[in-house]
Amino acid sequence: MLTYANPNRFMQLARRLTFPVWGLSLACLSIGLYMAFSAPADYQQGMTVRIMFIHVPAAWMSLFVYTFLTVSSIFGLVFRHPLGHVAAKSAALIGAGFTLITLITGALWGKPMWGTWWVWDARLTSVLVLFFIYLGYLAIWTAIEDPLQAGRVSSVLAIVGFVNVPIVKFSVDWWNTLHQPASVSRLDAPALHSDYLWPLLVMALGFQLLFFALWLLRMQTEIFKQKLRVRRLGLVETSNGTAS
Amino acid sequence: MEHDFYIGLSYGVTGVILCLLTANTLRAFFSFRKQIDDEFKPEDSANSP
Repeated sequence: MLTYANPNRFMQLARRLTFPVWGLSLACLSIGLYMAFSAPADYQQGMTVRIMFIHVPAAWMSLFVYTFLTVSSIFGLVFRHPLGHVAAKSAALIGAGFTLITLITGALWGKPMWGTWWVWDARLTSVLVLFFIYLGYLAIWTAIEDPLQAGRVSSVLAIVGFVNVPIVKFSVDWWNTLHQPASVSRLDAPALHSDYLWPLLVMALGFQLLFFALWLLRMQTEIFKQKLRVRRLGLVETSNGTAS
Repeated sequence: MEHDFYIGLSYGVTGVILCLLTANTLRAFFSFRKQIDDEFKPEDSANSP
């Protein structure tokens, strides 16, 4: 793992992995969509149950990406891992995208099932807070020009904001919410029939692979940016030295 | 019929967000890779015998 802390070694690995991961992700998403649209209608929800196949994997991804972002930030801030902040920054916009999908598809599922687009219950509100934390994290990187300082400040926000992750996960157990409790990640057995469980898991794998495909490209972009920044700073210093 | 509207909109919005995310990622990647090629290539060709 530490071998790939070297940006050049990481770039070599990323170049080899990017296209296979893209291919696998598109294959998984195509199979998942086919399975989702072949699943039978639910006896209560009818065909609306199909929204679950994107809403639930997107919600899992929003939590997974935030956890990934926090762990990367800890590596960057505490262990001074050279790629820690880069890995966290590269994941943030993708995580925000998945959280936005969760919020929008949740509202579109809530309207026909609950009769309302939105309620201020614990699960929905904590996911909205998660979305704002993602936006705040991205805003720090936009506002602070120096990457070292931006990395430090954004890591502190990421680590403090991580307190919201267990709140999102366990909100349905800790408070009375309109949102249903966990159906798949239960200690006993999933409460979902295999007709719904398999398309859900394949879509979740597709989203996971799509995240890694996008993250690999964004990581390479960030490393390109750093190379250019270092080179341009070097050129400015050289020209200043020549002028004086 | 009404349910089809919510299902279609959910999948449509998800597709649009993921396409925007992918387009943004690819545009940035190719743009910076081109800059790297432009800035480092003259040096590489000068260094080569």
